[in-house]
Amino acid sequence: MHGPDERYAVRGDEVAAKSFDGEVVVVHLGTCTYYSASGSGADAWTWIEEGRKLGDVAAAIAERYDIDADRARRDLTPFVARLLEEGLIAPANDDGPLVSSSPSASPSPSIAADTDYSPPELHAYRDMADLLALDPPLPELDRPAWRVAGDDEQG
Amino acid sequence: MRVLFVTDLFWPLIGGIEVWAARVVTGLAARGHDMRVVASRGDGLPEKDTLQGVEIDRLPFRDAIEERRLDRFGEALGELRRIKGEFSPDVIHLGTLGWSTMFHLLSRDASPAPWVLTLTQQRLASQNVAGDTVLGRALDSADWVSSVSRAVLDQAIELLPGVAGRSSVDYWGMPAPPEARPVSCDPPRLLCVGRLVPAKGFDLAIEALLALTSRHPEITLSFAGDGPERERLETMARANGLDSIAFEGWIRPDRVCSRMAEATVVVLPSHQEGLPVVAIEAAWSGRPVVASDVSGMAEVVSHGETGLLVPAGDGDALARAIDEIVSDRELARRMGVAGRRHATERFSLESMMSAYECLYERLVSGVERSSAGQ
Repeated sequence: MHGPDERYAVRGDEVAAKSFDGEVVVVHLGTCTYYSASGSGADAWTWIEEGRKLGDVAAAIAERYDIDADRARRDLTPFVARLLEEGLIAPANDDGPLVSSSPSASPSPSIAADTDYSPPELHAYRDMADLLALDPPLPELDRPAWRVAGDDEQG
Repeated sequence: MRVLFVTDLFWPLIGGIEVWAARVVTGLAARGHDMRVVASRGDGLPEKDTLQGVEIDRLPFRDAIEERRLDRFGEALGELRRIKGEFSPDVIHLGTLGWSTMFHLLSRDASPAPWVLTLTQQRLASQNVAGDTVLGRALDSADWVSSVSRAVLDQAIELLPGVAGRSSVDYWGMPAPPEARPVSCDPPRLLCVGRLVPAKGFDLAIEALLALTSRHPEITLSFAGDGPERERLETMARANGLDSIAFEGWIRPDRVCSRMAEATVVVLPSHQEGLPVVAIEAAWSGRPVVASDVSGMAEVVSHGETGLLVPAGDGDALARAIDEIVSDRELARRMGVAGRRHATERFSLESMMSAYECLYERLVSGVERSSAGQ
């Protein structure tokens, strides 16, 4: 595992992320790649984003999902490596703009309580830009509404 | 049958997919199916709407992706999950491969219903179908892939051979318009219909007109549609002194066939097409088609019988083919009649509805999924 005292920061210049309903969606603005993570992956992202040390993140996952701490650390390692590889996070400077790391294992209130554990995973969706270029919709066209007799009025 | 239809593009916008999707949804509702639509929000359209009694929710798929609005992303995903749970569909039909596809993939946990993906894209061959792409995930996990043409399906199968065992070509159909009067070549009237975008190759139609004017002084060309190419095409027409060209703007989908009935030949010089809806409409209108021989076109235009196909991008060949038809009234009429017959056999609304009904029923009964898994 990356060092338990290491902390990381989301690369805010190139990455945007949002958590909702036990899920996190991340977009790399440079590559237009979307990522999603749920369950322990969403938890891990949230706690890493909060600036917690990796050791604390693993401990929090172990407590939340009632699993062995060693297993939590082992599973967290490839997840963090993947986040680094995708350019979503970077090592945080000691004086970086991070919130103070708390060893509390309490999950963030926005994360739904779901204690079925599976290792944190990051799912990528890399081709949205390519896909739209195949046959781009042209919503900017000033097309007329097509409503004929029998169609309903706008509600 | 409860069918949730998810699409980027939908009524009341005009376009091939939009019009097809509206026909599918209202046609199946008229056959007694419980239909519900989730479409992309935008264009000033209301978030909630109905079409002939079918409930429509427009979610911010486009804002979430194009504008990278993650607050909209959460809203769209949450709403799609809620609708899937609330409506509890028997089948989910994805009408487009685009913004909404990713949201469907992310919300698959909200409904166990089998799902159908309709493929319309004409340039799939160069795409990446790795497991971390939307296209790869969609083709790999769809219970059924319904393609608008053989040409498009062949590309999908080449990308992912496993698609072959759970796919079909389901041609788009449309209501039969009234029989048009026989084709008139006096004077020759050419008509181009569609979005004025570079992919349609409409500049080639202007080049062809220029080449034909000396031989057919009364010949005219009209464009029905609009888009970013309009200014360039208008400039091209003016620069060549062609006052026989008219730009009519959009015409309503329910009036396309009556407009085509006033033409001698419908011209489609497209550089690419998945399934050219305009060619189907021309066939139903009993009008010969001169078109470029690109993906899917030959499935609608039978060369020498219902029209003529020419190499894509070849303005001279396009002009020669138009000349051949407008110079021979009997040929033009024969092609028009053959086109109508071809449309009746292959592109009827009823056969399209029956094909989808049959597909949904097989998916719900589990026949297709179990056979695909063997």
